[in-house]
Amino acid sequence: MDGVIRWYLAVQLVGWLSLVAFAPDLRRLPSRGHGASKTLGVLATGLALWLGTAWGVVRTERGGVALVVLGLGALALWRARRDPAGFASLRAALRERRAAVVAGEVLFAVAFVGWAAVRALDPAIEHSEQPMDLMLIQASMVDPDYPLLDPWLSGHAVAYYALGHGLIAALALLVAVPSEVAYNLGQACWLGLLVSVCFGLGYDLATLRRERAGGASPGSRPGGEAEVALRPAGGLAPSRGSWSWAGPVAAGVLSAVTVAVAGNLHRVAEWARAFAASTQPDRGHWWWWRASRAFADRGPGGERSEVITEFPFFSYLLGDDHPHLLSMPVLALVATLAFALVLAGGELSRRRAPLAVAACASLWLINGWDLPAAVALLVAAAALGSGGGLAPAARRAGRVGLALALGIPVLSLPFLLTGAPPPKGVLPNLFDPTPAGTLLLLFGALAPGVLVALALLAGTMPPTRRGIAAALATIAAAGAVLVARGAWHLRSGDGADWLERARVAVASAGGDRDVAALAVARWLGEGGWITVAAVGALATVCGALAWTASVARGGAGGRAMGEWAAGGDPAERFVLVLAGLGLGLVLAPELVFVHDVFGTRMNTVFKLHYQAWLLLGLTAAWGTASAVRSRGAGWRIAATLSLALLGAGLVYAPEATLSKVAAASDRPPTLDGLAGWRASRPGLVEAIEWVRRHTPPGAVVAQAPGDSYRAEQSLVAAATGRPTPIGWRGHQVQWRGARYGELVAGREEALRSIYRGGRADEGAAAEEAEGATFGAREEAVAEAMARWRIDYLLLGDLERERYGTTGEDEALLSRVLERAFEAPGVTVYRRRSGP
Amino acid sequence: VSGAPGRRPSSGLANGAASGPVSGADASSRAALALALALALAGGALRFAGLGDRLLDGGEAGSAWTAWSMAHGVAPPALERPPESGLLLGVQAMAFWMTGGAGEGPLDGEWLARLAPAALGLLAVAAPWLCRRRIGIGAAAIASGLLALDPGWVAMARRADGVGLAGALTVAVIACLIAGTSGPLRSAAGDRAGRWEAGLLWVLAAALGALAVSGPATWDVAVPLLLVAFLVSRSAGARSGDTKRPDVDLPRLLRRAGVIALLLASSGLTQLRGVQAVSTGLGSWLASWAEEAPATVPAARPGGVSWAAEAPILALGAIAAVLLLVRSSNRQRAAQRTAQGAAPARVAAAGLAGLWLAWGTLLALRPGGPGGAWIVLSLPLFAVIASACGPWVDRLLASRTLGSRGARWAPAAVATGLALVAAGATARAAGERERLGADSSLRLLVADVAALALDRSGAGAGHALLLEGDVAGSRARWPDPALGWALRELGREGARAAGAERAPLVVSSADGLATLWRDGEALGRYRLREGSP
Repeated sequence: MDGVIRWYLAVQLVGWLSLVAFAPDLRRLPSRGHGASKTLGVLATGLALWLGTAWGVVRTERGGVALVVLGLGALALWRARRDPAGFASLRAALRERRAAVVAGEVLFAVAFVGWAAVRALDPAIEHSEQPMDLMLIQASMVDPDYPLLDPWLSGHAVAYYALGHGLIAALALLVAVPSEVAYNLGQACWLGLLVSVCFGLGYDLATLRRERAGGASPGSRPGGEAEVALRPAGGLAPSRGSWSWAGPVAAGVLSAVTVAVAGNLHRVAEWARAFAASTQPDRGHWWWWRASRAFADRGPGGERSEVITEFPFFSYLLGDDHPHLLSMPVLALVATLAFALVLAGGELSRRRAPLAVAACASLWLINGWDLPAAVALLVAAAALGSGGGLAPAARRAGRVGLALALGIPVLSLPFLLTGAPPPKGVLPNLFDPTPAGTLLLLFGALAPGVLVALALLAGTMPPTRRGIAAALATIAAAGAVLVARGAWHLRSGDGADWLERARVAVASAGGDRDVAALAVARWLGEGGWITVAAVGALATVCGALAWTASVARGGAGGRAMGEWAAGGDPAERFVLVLAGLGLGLVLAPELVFVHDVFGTRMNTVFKLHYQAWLLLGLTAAWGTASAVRSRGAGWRIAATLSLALLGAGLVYAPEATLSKVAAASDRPPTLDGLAGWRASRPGLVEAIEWVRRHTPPGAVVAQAPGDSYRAEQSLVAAATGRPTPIGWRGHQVQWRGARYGELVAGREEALRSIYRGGRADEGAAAEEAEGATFGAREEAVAEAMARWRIDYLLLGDLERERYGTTGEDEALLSRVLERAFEAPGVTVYRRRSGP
Repeated sequence: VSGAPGRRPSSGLANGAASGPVSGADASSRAALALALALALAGGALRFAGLGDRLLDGGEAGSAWTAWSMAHGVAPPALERPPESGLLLGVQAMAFWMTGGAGEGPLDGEWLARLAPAALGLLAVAAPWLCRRRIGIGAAAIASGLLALDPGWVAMARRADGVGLAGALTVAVIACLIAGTSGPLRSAAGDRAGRWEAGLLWVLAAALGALAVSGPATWDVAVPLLLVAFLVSRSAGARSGDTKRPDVDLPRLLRRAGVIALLLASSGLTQLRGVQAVSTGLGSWLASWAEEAPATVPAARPGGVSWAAEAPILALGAIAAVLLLVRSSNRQRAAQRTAQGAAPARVAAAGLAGLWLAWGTLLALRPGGPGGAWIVLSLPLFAVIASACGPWVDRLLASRTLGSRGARWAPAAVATGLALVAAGATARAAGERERLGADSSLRLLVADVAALALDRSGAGAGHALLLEGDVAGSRARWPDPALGWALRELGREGARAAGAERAPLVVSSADGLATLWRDGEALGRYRLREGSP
């Protein structure tokens, strides 16, 4: 509990400091960015620490974090002193919007404390990729310098985007909690951050719409905007006096719930099937997992090919602190910055540019998949910031694009030099179009809201034929470029290999079809074209509206068009950005996918749909909230339908949470992620604690190599941050590609030799084994330890089992090495000599 | 720090509106100058005499070893407690780079490692004279004398860590702040006043910048310094009629301080470890509130006993402070009774002193050790003593005779002061002897290694020096900084002689501190043998 309070206070501290420090950047937002301030504070702290460490001016340690927070405080103080009028305006705005401030704070507290309670009932770090995330958090906490040493590959830097884990580590260092607690608190905190940012954005969008419709006093409007009173399609209901805050607050809450709590309709479908069959839906072991694998692709040979269909709530329920989860509040922050950019007329001033660049660069360092979407958000926001014609829109967009293109690499330079290798390229999606029904299953909870939003926008300003044609052409051209890029990749070495494997798979599956025929059959026969056509049509609507917003001039298309484009509701224009980009992210994996180590579109669908969930969720919430408040029966019916499907999407969260927690509730509540291991493998945890206390951070503590997803393997390295020669091999291959083989060459053999006390392998010639004297074996062990710079050797059940370590081997190890620690089933040896 | 209403305006920060230059007969000035020189000499002698005699202990050696390694292009050791004072590391690196830092005699490594704290400690002795026009010559002399002779301050200045630096720079900052609000100088016309203020601003920036990178003790003194800055700015504002804004270009001051801090900590932008040390120092300070400090040398006596024995001046000051506070409170009540109102500045000063002492007490009681508590506790008490006794010294200097009533007490007062200093120094020396026990162990080892390795310079026939894990700084264990420092040259040569034919000299750790302090006797901490490890 102590840790929860300290963590909460730390986030509050950096959040409020950021609110003041970055007030000028967010001053056009009605809530002044209060909802995004905590994310901004956490990000500013972590990024500054990362940059400072990378450039060698601070160390990643508690003092370093404290120094950064002091710096943030100094910046806030300086900003407040330099611009007292702005500071006074901020205070006045927060007072005026106190309902939003209170609601935002309550939402954050409820999400943080509530999810911390859930994690306390189910805290174990013992499945899926949780140990890997613990490893990255712990490494970030104990390694004070840059680059971060990889605990799962001694002697090398981490080749993965780990800033998100660094952010958790920074807070953990500041409030002095160990990594296994920080793991759970960080996750709860991130849910709070996501909820806060989404609430703030939803509130701001709704507030602007209401106030532009004449529901608030001019004094409460954001500064610098031309005031255009217009009545959107359907018209807004009049303001209700002292309750005028309730609508925007409700819209904000709806945004937060839609993005963070709602899920896909997989469980609803299971309920429906069970209902039809008059049975109960399956509640077997980990039933909730199935929602994240709602459908599967079929490879070229007809084999099942896994596709990940996670949505934010599932990620929290699963409990991995993975990059896609850690980046989502930051992507929502970028969306907030994009909205502020729209409010500023699309002009990215020199003062605001660093914040936008830093946020995008952070996304690259947290989860590189999010960077294109973030850049696209800001560029589109700049283009649609105000009307005035195509050329000004292009100029604004170009300016933003240039700032990001120059700034992001500069800021991320250390990562560029040491980080993960770039992907091989993109491949065309030849065999696996998503059936339209499946897509509805995935996004059904959001679809009505998105349709309502687009209908509202189209009703406000019907798209022109010219706009539709332009949008269609643009989208078709973009799609063609993507597909052509994928086709081009098939000519390269990696792409050609992939194609060859596909040919072999098709051939081995029998039949007389070749790859091209199979692709055509799949696309036409399974309705993939319908998905592309439907999503493409919606994207075309967005594009057509965007065309109107950016190209139309006053008078060119009538008075209404001129007003809308020149200075109309910026919230509507921003929703257009959200919807268009969200639909684009859904559409993209239907056409191409990133060529990664798996060679399938599993990760591409996963990562892009995940981002789309955020953008479409915000769109849907805005559309639904707007429809609720609009006049006309049609809008009310649409709103009801939208709310109903959103409600269906909310079925999953409580049922799955209760089920998962109930399955794990045989242990007393705790936030200690190692609690389960303490019970099941006390010796291992004692060894972990000993290693933490008695060894320097860079000491190599050898263990048996680990297999991916086997939580008990490589756990000591994960929980201590002390490198082991080989960790989870599968993940290292994913991160490092083909180079990994070179990097670990010889390590397996060395470990085998050490753990067998220098004995030859079982298969070796008997005379050779017998001929190996103790002296030679001792020498072999010592040499292997020295060659791979192994400082400590951990001998546990896993090692004994894997290598068949005998009592005689252990006796030999005791002579060559120093027995440094012993616990039931676990011995830690230390290399005797120094240099 | 206050003078009583109606008293001659000679001492006290708070009654600045009425203060002015002490009526200055030439003789009085000459006497003051002589006094200042005498105190500086005494302070210098206490700080520099035998400065390099004692080997660096574990708490001092980490920074020196790192700085020496950097200066010689050797990879710095990975220490359990990395250097925490960027200023010390930066200055030591510069000193070792310029002189080598290994020679015998006056410029040996220990002397150079401790040079910066000693030199700054001497500057601290001189600092009160900077504000003599504000607080009076007598008070300046008393303050300077206390800083020069107090055993605590002398000991701080003779240790190669950041505490002494922070203490000296704190005094410098306070002196600058007080001098900067000096009424007569501010009102002086012409270039001289302008130059004075500009120079003072540079000195203040330098002191602030250096203090910012002095180590964990910086954060100990930050709170009192903010209090002083607040009080001084109010005091200055009250005179200028603007109670909110002090007459200082704060951003410019902070910019200058930042640049100076960066240059000092990075040895002129040649390394960044000193800059990193700032965050390490802050982390160490934060940890000191929750964690026990690692015991590099076991405590000889309970802390309270040590403090009382070694700091009689503090004890005297505490009594004086209580008496003065009671007196001030009585006067305040009397003033209220006569409807004249309390002097707000005096109340503020009393509040400041109270907060300051409370903060110092907190620091002294924290689990991680007192750190800069000595600085925080002693300075206000010194100020109280200086404030109380300053007018008496002023009268003494002005009278030019020893026949006045006040002067009759002078010999007794001086004798008492010296006795207290001597008592404190004696008590502290007892602690030092225990440190020297550890010292002797190391000295013996170094001598043995040197003797055994004499023939190493022969053509390939000598011993290689092999330091085992604990003492060598391998990645497996934390190195012993004291030994690493003491054998720094031998270690370097040993690496060169690693291919020697004879069996190496192996230095390893004995069984640790338990062995060292058995039955109060200092035994050897290290083992030296010939052969394979």
